[in-house]
Amino acid sequence: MTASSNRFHVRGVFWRQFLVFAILNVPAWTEPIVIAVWAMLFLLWGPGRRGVMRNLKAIKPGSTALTNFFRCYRVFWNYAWTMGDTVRFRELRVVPDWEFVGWQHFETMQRSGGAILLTAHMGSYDLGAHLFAENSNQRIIMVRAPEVDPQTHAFEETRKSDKVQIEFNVEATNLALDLLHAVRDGGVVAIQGDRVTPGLSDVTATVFGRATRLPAGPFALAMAARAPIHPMFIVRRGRRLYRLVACEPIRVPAIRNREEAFSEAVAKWAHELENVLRASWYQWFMFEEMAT
Amino acid sequence: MNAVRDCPEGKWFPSRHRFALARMFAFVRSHFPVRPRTDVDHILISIHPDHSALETYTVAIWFYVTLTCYIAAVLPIGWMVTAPLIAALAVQIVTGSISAMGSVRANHLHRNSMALFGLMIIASAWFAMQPGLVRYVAWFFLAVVAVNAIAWLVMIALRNSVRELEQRCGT
Repeated sequence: MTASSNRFHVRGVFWRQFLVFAILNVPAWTEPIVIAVWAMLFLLWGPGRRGVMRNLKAIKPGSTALTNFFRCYRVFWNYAWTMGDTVRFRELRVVPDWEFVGWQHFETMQRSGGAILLTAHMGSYDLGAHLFAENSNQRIIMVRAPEVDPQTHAFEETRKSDKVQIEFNVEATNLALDLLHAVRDGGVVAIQGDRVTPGLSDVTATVFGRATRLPAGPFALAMAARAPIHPMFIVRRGRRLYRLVACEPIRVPAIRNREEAFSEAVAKWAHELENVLRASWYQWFMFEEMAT
Repeated sequence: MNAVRDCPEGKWFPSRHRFALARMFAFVRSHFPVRPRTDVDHILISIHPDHSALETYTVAIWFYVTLTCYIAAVLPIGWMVTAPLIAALAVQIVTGSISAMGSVRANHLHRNSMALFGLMIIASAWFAMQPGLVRYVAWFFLAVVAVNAIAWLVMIALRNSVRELEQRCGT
């Protein structure tokens, strides 16, 4: 594929630039019309649509393909609004409304010093990080998968939030040491724990009755740093309205048997993930089928 | 960040609305009690003119339905069914065309909003003079614009009361 055709690929830089243009030009009261059309157009993205529909089949067993097609539209609709809110925040500093559930767990995390914040592909990383920065003095390091397209990667690099440090999980060994130091120094490392990046270690878990693979990194980091894992989710509740759901911390025991130490923690994480996804399936922005 | 914490009344602050009619409605609504939130631990309400979902969806649906009626009125009967799709595309083509005037990196939200409404007022004035049912849609559109203009004058007169109201949550 040529560089110019990559621009227009679904993960290409053109769509990111186009979204910035839209945020600066589309009046708020025409947004529902515009987003309804674009969410429909993105249904033409076959791999993404199929990935979402297969995951929906796992979350809602027994559902028909037609029903999941319409549910898929709802996922794309929510994704478009979330992307819009993120870019609006970056370009115009407009923040959405927030609701907080499980605030005591959030406060526990702030008191605990270094911690691992485990989340899923939901809501917006940037908005969540901004909220975190407003409510905490802790340093936050976000770990994310790098953009597939180099131009998109460069575009995102120039628009990184100044409130958080972003690390791309490409060089596992070097990054692991940096993250370990960050947690030991009292920082919070935010990782998405619902998708395995190729080339990185994973653990087996059961999610919605299906054997799947989840990233092992957060659990290994928690064990090495002797820091708790805080499951936290950002759920879009409506137009410019998000909910931060903080769950009870998970501890990984520092024992010799790694498998045994991880299994209980992974099961707890899988349970929290299932609970949130069952209630908010329409905004699980996981465009690949769960790893099996 | 202009926001209020743990103040559910903030949801109905006129400053969270864009159009004068919506701001006036919010002002009246804010004089009635708001149910306290027991389902969440804390809330943070952002004060920004485009934050009302009710206002945005109402205006979007009204604008879209009106435009669809206008497009259906000029299409041959056999093509009327395509009017909703054409209306959805027309909004974007017009917005994109107006946006093309000026810098790509500049914020044109206010200008584009004024231009879209301006074009719609011109279209409504024309359709209001036409025979057929579409003239009622056009008259309704023009009536709402007129009422909004009156509400704008009322809200200017009420600006001190609005300020006092919004100081309730310490903004």
